[in-house]
Amino acid sequence: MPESAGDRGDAAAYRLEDVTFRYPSASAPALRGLSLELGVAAFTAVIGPNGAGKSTLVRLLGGILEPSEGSVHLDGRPLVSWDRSALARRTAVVSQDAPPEALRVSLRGYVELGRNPYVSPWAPLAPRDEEVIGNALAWAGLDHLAHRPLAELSGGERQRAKLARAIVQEPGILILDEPSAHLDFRHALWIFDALRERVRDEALTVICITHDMQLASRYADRMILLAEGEGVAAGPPGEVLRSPALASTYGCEVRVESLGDLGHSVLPVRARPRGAASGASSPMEAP
Amino acid sequence: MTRTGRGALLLILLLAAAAVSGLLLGAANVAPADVWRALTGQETDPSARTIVLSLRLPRITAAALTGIALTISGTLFQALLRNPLAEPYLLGVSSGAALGAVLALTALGGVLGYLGTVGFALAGGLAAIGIVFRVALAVGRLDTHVLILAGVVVSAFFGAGVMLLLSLAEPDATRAAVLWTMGSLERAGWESTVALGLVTAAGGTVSFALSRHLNALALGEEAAAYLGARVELVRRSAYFIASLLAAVAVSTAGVIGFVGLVIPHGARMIWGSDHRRLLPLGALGGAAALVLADTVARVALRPLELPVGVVTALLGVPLFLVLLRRSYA
Repeated sequence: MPESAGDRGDAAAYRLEDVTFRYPSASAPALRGLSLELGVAAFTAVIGPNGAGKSTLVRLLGGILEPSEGSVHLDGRPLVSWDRSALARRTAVVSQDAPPEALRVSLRGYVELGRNPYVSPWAPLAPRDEEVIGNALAWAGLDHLAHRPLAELSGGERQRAKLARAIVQEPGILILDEPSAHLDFRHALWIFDALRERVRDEALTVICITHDMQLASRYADRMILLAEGEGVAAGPPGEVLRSPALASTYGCEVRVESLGDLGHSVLPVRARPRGAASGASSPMEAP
Repeated sequence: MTRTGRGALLLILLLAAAAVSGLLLGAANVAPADVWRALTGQETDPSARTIVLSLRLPRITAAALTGIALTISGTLFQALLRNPLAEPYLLGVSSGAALGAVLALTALGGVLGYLGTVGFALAGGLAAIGIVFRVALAVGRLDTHVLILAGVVVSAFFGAGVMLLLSLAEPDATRAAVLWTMGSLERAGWESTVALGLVTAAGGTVSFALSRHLNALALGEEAAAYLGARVELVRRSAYFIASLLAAVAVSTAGVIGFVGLVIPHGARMIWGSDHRRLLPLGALGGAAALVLADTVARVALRPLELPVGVVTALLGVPLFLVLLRRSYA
């Protein structure tokens, strides 16, 4: 995969070398020979069709899965050598799973779980912990809901609660798996905007898996396109979205339009029949 | 005062009230003044002294410890399986312990005495745990489905062993064995509370140390790992502690049902899912509930004594239904 000159970060937070991952019962590997670097203090969007290996990549970066072949390094150290709670202080993951409905916990209690890597069960939270939690709740605009049961919150509020919980981990790196799925555009916009702000102000490294091409291209420094477990394009969002690989990867003719400051829009035009020669036609482009 | 603080105070008062009534009431009539003199080491009637210090006090202690052990065990199982209906006997501990105890009471004719029965029950319970975990760990990581299935099957196997022994035994031995399986603290003395106390203290301490990870586990194993939990280690330790607590409780007091199900579930309904509150408050509740149930068992049909497992079910189930109705209404 070509490394682009558009990287904002100077150093890599994560470095994947020739990573292949195969689920025990699966015939084909979920990731094959993937090599990439994820820059510090940069916003990287990972796109790709369903089944491309995006969620597997999240689990690998989060240390839940270990590569079948190849290696994953974090801050120059093999990820497998990281202690679980040290890793949780460095990397926070916002996965797709919704918190279980049956969980009887207040919003604040839920967000407080983000302090787990820092606190002992024997002592109450220190003032510093309380401060971090308070700040995260205020940042997510949730402080007025702090004592409401989590189950009573709306989908948008719950998604912000997940984000607040991750921020409470005070991570240097934040990995998100489709944070804007099922959200209306106002909430989706808020999330991308809030992440961008933290990348700028706090040098947060964001790795965001998404299907929202417009928001991704508007806010990300860099975009990675995955297909069938391989990285097929990487670089500034505009370049990746305009590359012929996009149409062939998704099996769909697309029209890509530049929206100026607002990024790019990707409009699906027509699905290609299965088995059609991939990469034969390039995406149509609007002026 | 916070909701938690009020709850703790209420439960402490309840436990104290239960303990006082347990000291004052019983098959024999002992005047409150004599109970007080016996407790404070003053000159008193020797029989009153024996009843209070060697019968009632150890029995109350055993009841409280058993209640705590069962409640913590149930709380852990409910957290691990993310199922509010999980209970301490899920993995076949009770059947294993029952087989051990029934073996001691029937085939060995009860010659070993109470402590021998306790020892056999403990060995049976531990054997059940050992088999279940051996099978469940054979697949590499501790698999919940394999664990539960193994528990059910081992439980059935040991249950069949109990039936076999009972069908072959003399009527007197059979009666003693059946009564044991219904749960009783009748013969609990200071000796039997030692192991129970040590295991309960150790199990409670480790459980509390795991409490934040148990909270995270409610979000799922993957989420808990992202929050810094070494999930496999946490799960294995918690399953082991939960089973061990159930084993010592059953071996001391027989099979006492519902405490390990109703108390943790009720505590969760009232105080929420945070194990840092749930474990200590539940433990207090379990202690109070079982001391109370045992007192009722002793005095309800005085001088006849009821199996305490019957009392916990008769009192616990209606209470639980009321809680359930109020909570989900």
